[in-house]
Amino acid sequence: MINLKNINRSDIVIFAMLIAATIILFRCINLQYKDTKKYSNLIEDREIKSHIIKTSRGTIVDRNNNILAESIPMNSLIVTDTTEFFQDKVAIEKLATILNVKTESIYKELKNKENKKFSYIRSARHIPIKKVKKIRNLNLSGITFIKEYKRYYPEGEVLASLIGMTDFDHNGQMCIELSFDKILKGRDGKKIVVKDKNGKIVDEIEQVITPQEGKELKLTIDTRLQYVAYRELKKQIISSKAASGSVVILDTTNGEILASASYPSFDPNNRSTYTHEGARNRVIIDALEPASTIKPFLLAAALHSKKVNLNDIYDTTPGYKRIGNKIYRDYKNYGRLTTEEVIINSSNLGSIMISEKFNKKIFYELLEHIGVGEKVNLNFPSEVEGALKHYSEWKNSDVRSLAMGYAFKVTPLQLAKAYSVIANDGLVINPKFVKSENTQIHEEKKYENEFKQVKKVIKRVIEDGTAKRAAIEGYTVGGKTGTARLYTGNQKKDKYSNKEHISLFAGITPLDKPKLAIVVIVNQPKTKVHFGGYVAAPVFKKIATDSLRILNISPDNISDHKKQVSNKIEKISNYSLKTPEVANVF
Amino acid sequence: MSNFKIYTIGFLIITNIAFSFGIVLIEHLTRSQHRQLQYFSNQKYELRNEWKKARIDQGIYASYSKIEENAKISLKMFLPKNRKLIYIDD
Repeated sequence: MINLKNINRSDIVIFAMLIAATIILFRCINLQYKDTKKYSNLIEDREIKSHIIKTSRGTIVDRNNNILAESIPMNSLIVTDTTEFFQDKVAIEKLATILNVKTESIYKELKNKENKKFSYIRSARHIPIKKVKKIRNLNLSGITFIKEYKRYYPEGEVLASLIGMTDFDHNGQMCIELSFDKILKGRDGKKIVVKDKNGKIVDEIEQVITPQEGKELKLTIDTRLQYVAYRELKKQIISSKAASGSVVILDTTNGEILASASYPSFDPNNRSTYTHEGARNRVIIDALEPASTIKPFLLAAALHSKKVNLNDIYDTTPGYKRIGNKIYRDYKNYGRLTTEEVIINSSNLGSIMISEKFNKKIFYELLEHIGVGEKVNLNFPSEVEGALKHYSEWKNSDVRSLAMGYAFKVTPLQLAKAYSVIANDGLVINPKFVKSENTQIHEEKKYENEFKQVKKVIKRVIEDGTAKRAAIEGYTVGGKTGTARLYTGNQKKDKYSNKEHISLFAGITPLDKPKLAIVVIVNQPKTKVHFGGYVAAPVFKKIATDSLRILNISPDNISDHKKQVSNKIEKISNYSLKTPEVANVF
Repeated sequence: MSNFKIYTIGFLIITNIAFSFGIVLIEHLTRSQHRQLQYFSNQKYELRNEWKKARIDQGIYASYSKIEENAKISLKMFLPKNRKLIYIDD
């Protein structure tokens, strides 16, 4: 018999502890052997995992903060268990109907992904919320939805060749999207989370890497001008059955690119419209021979040499001239021309004669000053620098070709930059398309007097010369037409097509207080008349007219209108004399 | 046992209990605030996405091409010819 009197308090505590230990042991055995499955399932269902926090790609906006590219999250369907997914064939058929694809294509796509826990269906990426709800109602097993960003381009084909697009994983693929990828992309974050069996986040434990959103990129582009430029270019290319074309509008006061249009184009919102030709930014990566549009610069160089005056006479009779094996021609026999008239009528023979009167080094230095053969450095993929040989390599035939705008190449943007130098009386301002970047101004203002004279001459090109179709009522315009024969040769032999041409026009408006430099290129028009003055100049006129109105630039050539205005005002003032007396008003 | 010791033990026990409650309370408050923070950040994310969608909509509806199309087709508007314009100097 246990004598209760002999039991002290410490025995009771030890006994209680033994009972507690036994209970714990029993519970451990119970958990380990009896409820193993139940609890291991629970653990599997709730796992601690690292979770990537996807960040949104930065927005691209124009100078007026209009959206050019924006990313928004969309739902994408993921197949997590193909075996389970394939069980409900009726639901898969319904899924195919919702996604507007054939059922076989879904089977085909998932055929070799049986062991994968994460399989995309191409047509089920970036689905609108309405479709997601319909799919959820199908109660398909083995699927889940994840959030993925989709990039939208509200301007579509109008800006495609400048903005470019991203791939499915939101990486910049071309154009600005590619060149500014680092800024736009941002950095994905990472957090430790508890997820349930379906991959849904139940709880967040900690954030390991803080996500960094992509930064906003503000461009100098004005979408209104961009649309006008693209619309007129497209209209002309379709009507003239041309192969391609481009337009660039430059703000001559600060070098900002206001519009950069290329045609053909594609819709970045619809990848099926993508073509290599459509994606080509012809303003920045297409170099071409500028033909007669370079003649104002020949004149500037000639004037700078002091060996040529505007009143010098050149006899271009009978309208052609054989030099060596080559025959140089004018459009017609212009007879005797002054230096000024050579440019106004775009005489090739006259230009050759001017080029023969001064040192070729002077012409080279001027071309170098305006940026020919030098990259604009826009940080744009595949930007080309054009082509200009050193003057020491120029043969006499090269000098003649250069005087006519051949034997070297410029991009439309370089040509616009060159015309902005005329607008700024010799001051070189480097073009840019990112708003925040500082304006790069060439410190030295060279050839000021020469370019002032050139301005007067290119004004007469519009008034009396080859570019009458570029004239804008109410505004002063200066410009030069160009018609280049298409180069079809190779490294061994130079060859120019007699049938295929490139029509060009480069102009400045308003000329008295320059604001816009516009270059229009139409490649291989199939019209009866293919001259720049007929094909490219009217496009310039339409674009410039709308652009000046949109930018609210006052007319600077309103002599006729002023008369109308003064008449009108007189009538108004006569009428307005009958205003009530002050006493009656108060 | 002296009274001083009893009071000290009593004080320590009460302090201990108070701290325990305090820790539990603070933990609870932190968790609920964290949950609230998560809720607000989710809401911020949703609102920002809504704003982005609205901006895209605005971009489409207010695009120059759309305005021109509506003006020409729906409203039958047209630009006056240049010679009909009267310019008034500022």
